Amino acid sequence: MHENRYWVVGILRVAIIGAGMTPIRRKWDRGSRELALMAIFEALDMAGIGPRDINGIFTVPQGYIIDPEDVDWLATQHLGEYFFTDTKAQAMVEIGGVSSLVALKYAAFEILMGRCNIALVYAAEKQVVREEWNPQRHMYLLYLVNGFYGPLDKRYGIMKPIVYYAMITQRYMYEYGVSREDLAYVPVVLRKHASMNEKAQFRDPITVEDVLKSKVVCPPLHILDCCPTSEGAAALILASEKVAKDLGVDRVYITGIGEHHDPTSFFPVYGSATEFPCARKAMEEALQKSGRKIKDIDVAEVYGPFSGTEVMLYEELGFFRKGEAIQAIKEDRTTIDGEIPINTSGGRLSLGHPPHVTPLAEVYEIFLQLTGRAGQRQVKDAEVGAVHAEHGAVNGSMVMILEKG
Amino acid sequence: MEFEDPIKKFLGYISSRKFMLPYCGKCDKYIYPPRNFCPFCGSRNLEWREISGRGKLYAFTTNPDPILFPPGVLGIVELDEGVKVLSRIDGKYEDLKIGMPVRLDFMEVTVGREKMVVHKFVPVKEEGG
Ligand SMILES: [Zn+2]
Repeated sequence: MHENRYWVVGILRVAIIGAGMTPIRRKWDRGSRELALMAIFEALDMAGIGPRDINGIFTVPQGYIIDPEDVDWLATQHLGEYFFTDTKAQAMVEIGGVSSLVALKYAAFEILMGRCNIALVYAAEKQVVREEWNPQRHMYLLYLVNGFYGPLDKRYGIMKPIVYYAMITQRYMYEYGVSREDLAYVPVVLRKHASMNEKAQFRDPITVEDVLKSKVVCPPLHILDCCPTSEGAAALILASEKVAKDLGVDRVYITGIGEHHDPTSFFPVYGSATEFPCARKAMEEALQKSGRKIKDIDVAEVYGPFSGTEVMLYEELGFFRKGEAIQAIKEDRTTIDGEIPINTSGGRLSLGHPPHVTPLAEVYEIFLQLTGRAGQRQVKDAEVGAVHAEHGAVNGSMVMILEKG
Repeated sequence: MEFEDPIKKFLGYISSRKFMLPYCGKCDKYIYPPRNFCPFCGSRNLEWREISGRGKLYAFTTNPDPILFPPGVLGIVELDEGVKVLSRIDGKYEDLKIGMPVRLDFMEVTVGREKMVVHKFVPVKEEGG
């Protein structure tokens, strides 16, 4: 244990010195590049540096359901030119919902290796929404998103992962005796958090009754159990420990990273659909690398795109025992002054969920919490935070442990 | 190396209304999605076997985007052979139950631009129930 701690403190210690995020909305009247620059300059200002100080640029694609005009596969090259800065590393990373956390990991590793000393990680997401749909221009997107479900499942015309999330939720409710009404507490608590976040997409309080009366999208999930369609951008500035100290700015250290991908795609053919081994293993690894225990975590952001998986993830990540998270949520034990505040941002359901941006939006929230900038939703004395992201229908997970510098 | 895509082979069987899976005799396991090796022991000595067509409904929902595929119930079926597969399920959502016995059938459907045969499962009335 001591040896591990030494390894972590000595080596795995990269500072986040600035963070920025646009408000999350269903639709922005700006393109992905403009959104990115809004978030990036907010982060640069917080770090007290300029664009020419950056020597690494890491990003993700601008989304899947995106108009051709908003796609820029060479976004890092274009940004490098705009910033007029020489860089030692650039990359665009893609692996579904964890993409931007993987981009952050890569940036952190380049800093650990001493190749970069100040790195930018950002994500900006755009979506073609219903009223913009133009069959001539966008038809290919139907086949593109259908292709995510592989050569066998795509034959059933699957267009969104909610099909799997709904079935996983139904099975979980069946195995653990969770009622439809129980589940409705999840969006209610998240909305309570979002009401204190001026950047959240939905801020008006809702009740259990509102959730139960809302339209059924994919049973047992109602529309208020689901993340919305969202656009926005987030950016982080990373620096080596030395550079962060020299700059003398508030900082948060990445002290542990865990990542695991199960050999499954959307549902386990052989295992149980109500367990997410990847989430458990990613959390265990991240805690071990940071020398922390689950009880040390003061605040967490969890990537729950639907109410059911939100509850299941609280358990699989180790915050609660299996089958016990829903009771904790109902008793307000996951709220800002609860025993473990989770998704103080409003979570995916109420903050909004641009999937490529979400992991950085989660880090943004934890950064605010650990540097005392979270305002009304500040968790008192928060020093250790955790961020989780997943891809598929929780087929792979990443966890990062963040600590106040 | 010569490689016969087991997914293509599987879909070829499906189009002739046969549900065949690679089977590893060493492990006594059926393999899904179809692979050219056994994921449990690594053996490439697999035999294609027709399944019994019996299974249980593991979970189900309704198709929220009936754009490329007609509306109706989609479910995960746990086959007697020990693997879970996604499938169209006959019947109304309200009438179905987790654990219900189901049997294999096929349907012809146009998915997007392409006409194809897909497998589906049909609830079986429990005897003496
Ligand atoms: Zn075998």
